[in-house]
Amino acid sequence: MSITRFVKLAVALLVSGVAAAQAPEDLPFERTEQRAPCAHYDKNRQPLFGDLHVHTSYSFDSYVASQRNDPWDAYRYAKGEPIYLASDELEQPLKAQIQRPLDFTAVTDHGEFLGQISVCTSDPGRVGYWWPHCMMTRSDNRYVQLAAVAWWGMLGVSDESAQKDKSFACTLSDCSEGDSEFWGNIQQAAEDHYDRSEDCSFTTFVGYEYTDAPDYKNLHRNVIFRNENVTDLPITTYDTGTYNFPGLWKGLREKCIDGGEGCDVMSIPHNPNLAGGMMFPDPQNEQELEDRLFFEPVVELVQHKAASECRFDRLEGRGVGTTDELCDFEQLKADNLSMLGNLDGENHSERAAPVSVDNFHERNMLRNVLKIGVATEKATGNNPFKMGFIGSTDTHSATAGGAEEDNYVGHLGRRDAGYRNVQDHFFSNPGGLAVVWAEENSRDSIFEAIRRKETYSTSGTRPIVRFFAGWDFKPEMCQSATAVDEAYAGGVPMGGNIKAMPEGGVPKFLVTAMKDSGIPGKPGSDLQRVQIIKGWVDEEGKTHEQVYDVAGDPHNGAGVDPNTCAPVGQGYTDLCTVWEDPGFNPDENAFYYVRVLENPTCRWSTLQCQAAGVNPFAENCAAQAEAKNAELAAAGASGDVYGQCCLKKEEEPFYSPTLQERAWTSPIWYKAGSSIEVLSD
Amino acid sequence: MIKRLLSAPLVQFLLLGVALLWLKATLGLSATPAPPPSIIIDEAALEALRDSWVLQRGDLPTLSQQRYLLKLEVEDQMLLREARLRHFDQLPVVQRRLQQLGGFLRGDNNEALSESERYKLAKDLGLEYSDPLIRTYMINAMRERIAETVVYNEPGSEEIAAYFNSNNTEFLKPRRVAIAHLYCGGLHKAARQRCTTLRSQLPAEADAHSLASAVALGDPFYGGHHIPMSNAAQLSNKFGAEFAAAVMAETVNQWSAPIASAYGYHLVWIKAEQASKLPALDEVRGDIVQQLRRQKQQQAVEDEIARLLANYRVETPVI
Repeated sequence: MSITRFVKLAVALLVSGVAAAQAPEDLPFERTEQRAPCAHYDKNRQPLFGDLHVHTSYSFDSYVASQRNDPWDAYRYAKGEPIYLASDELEQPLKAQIQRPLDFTAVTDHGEFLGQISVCTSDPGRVGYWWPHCMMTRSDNRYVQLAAVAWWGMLGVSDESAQKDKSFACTLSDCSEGDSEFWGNIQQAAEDHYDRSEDCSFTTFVGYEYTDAPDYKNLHRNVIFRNENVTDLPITTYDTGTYNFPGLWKGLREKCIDGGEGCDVMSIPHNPNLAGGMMFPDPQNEQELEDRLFFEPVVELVQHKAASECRFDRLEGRGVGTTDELCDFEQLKADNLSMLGNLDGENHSERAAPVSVDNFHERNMLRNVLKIGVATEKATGNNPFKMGFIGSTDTHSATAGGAEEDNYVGHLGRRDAGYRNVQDHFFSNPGGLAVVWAEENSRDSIFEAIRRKETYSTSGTRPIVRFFAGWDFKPEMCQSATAVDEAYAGGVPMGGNIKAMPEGGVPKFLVTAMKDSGIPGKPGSDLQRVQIIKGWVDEEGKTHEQVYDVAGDPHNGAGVDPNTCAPVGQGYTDLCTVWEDPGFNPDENAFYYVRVLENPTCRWSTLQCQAAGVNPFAENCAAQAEAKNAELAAAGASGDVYGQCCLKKEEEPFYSPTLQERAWTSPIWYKAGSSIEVLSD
Repeated sequence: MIKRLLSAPLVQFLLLGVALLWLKATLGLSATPAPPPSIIIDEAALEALRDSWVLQRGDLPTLSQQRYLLKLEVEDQMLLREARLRHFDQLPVVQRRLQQLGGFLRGDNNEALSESERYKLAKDLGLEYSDPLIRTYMINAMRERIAETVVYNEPGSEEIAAYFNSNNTEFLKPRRVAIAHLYCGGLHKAARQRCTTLRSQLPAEADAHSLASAVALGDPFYGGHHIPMSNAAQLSNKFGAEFAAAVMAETVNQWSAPIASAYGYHLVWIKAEQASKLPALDEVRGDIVQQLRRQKQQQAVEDEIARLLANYRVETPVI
């Protein structure tokens, strides 16, 4: 019996006899699986926090970093249990435990190499296990590991040839069997950890990563299945060839949407900041347009390898299509995946060099892509770029949701364990979270929330943000105990399309934001302000953007204690406003989204530098770093470990020792015209 | 004379005895049963197992781990022999593998070989006995065959009840409450005092309508004033852990004293509750049955492997 069949049978048996307390026709979403109804069902929906981008030892780059936690371990971590990671020298396991469990998670290992990694790592009885590349993959030697990961990269990730090669290990042993084995295990792990009882304590999704990075341009997508009905195997670049993510959609349509009973699926583009401008090309035909809108309702705005909202270079004093100075948040200097190749504090790849504002592709940043979308809609009648926002971690250490600045154990096994996190991954960050407004914590409810884009992204904290648009919203809604009922009844939530405009109407926007409630003994940061970002296209087809401060106080004086990083000053526990667009022009296509800013806190690197006795705020920081470097050198470390702790904000285009954690809601779109088709809400 | 001699019963008896001895010697007949097949693992084989462990895990196996490695190796060797007895070398996956192995070889003139030729070549070279992948296929196939064919009793009512009773913490449901709350925004004394004052004005009893009126006396709470059935963890996510703990200590159908959350103070009315409780056995019967079936099948497989192994003579190093 195949593992997939076993999973389905087990599901049927586990929930057999559980009658739905609420009939499917009573639900605002379609129930496509057998499970108990959730006790905490809320018709006004609730914010659920999750991570849809998680790698485990089934991923080549995780495995070669001596990371051995598998999909089951990743789900255990997400649910609050401890897991153990390899340290830099491998002799001392590092305990990793999230401070607050997640509500949902998808393990998304690289689909391309499941079978190959299985052959290379699972069974010495297989001949392929002894192929030198496999032996290198299993090696504990750092330099051999780097050579092995480069080899894997050339094989199936960064290669530009139409037909990608597999490892010779697959000639020696049967990698297709390994594909089935690991794909089955991924499904089984998701099933084992999915709470199908009325407690609805944790939801898993079966998923994988479609990993195409021609010439190190990141065109990756996470493929997330709605329920246990999935394709027989992942559809990968071995099926589609490179530069061909429309081929992924085609395959998913053929093998899942049209070809798989009960199968439903979406693909989520990764952070486009490293895509070299190629993540969001114009659709080449009607099918591509249709597929993009159907399969890709949301995009990953923030993750380990930077934020992709917008980009502002402080040194140049200008941005990529923006003058918004808050767009300096968690940016990388390069525009492709070569930035990952740091060792002992240095990166010798020419591709990893900083990219100037003029040479940074505008489509690497989502605000620009949204603007291009409304401009395209004006020109063609169709907007191909209507994506909502989520965040995730992209952890390669199985630490799902480990986006906490003060609890950051690195993302790549031994390669950024301990001091190497500061030395080699200083400009990376712990990643973000995906938040969905769903009626309950179940696969169907969450999946449909993502599909209608009622989602937002956070940089790792957990503020609660709502955003609605309507024509008749009144300022008094902020004083109403039933504001959410009124907003759903008279408007659309984040991710929606403003419906038909009344004569002379001007859209009104309701925003509510509540601070992160924190954990015992560690309250969340206060809010500083709420902004609404508008993008639009004018009569000439030129795009514009405007950032409005709509609630809070940007000058509240809050900051951090430079010696302890403790918060100084106060902000807001919650904020609310009903905002009317002062520049609304009914003839201009536009989008609006919310950005919520918390008070400043210390960046993860600042906390880890301080813990090592190197204070980025201290005048003698360089001397502290030098002393610490000498101490580590005596213990065997190479290169400048803590020197980057002392970088000056004034001399850096993006880095700062403090940051303002934030949330970004999915946009709400307005399409010019008095009678508007509701496209997807 | 000879005729008389041959007719003597004693002589006939002796001749019959000689004939039987001749038959025994010629046909190999013996009253002693054949010795059982042997599985012998010597020190060198144990060392190979240790090396394999080190290659995979990076550390030396402990003594108990070595014993476990030995046990697995003995079982694998036995399962491999049993698989051959059952002609599992005819499985398609084994035949494909032999064709693949034969593909690495060439004919005398270096010409490409057909599938059947590749298969025959690999088989003639005895690769079905030496290829580690075929070994793995056959051992796994034998294990699966055993798992499919073992018979075990379906879990009975008493057994299910016993499992339920001895593992009840596994099924314990935490208390859940559905609440309405009146909110006094801010964590300052004035907010607390305001909530205290409002509490004194609230009626001691409430229905849906009066609850709606009551919460409207306070500030709007953007996380909602009516929270559906939630356990402590779910409340903690919305209000903070201290608030959740305090609410869980409250009783139903009365206004609480002001309770601090991450946002301010709240007067909480518990509208409904589901006490912490063990679910009825029937609610979790399906889960238990599955769990017991898995345990029974696993035990039955182990028993069957032990039964088969009893037919072998096993020699291993003493650890």
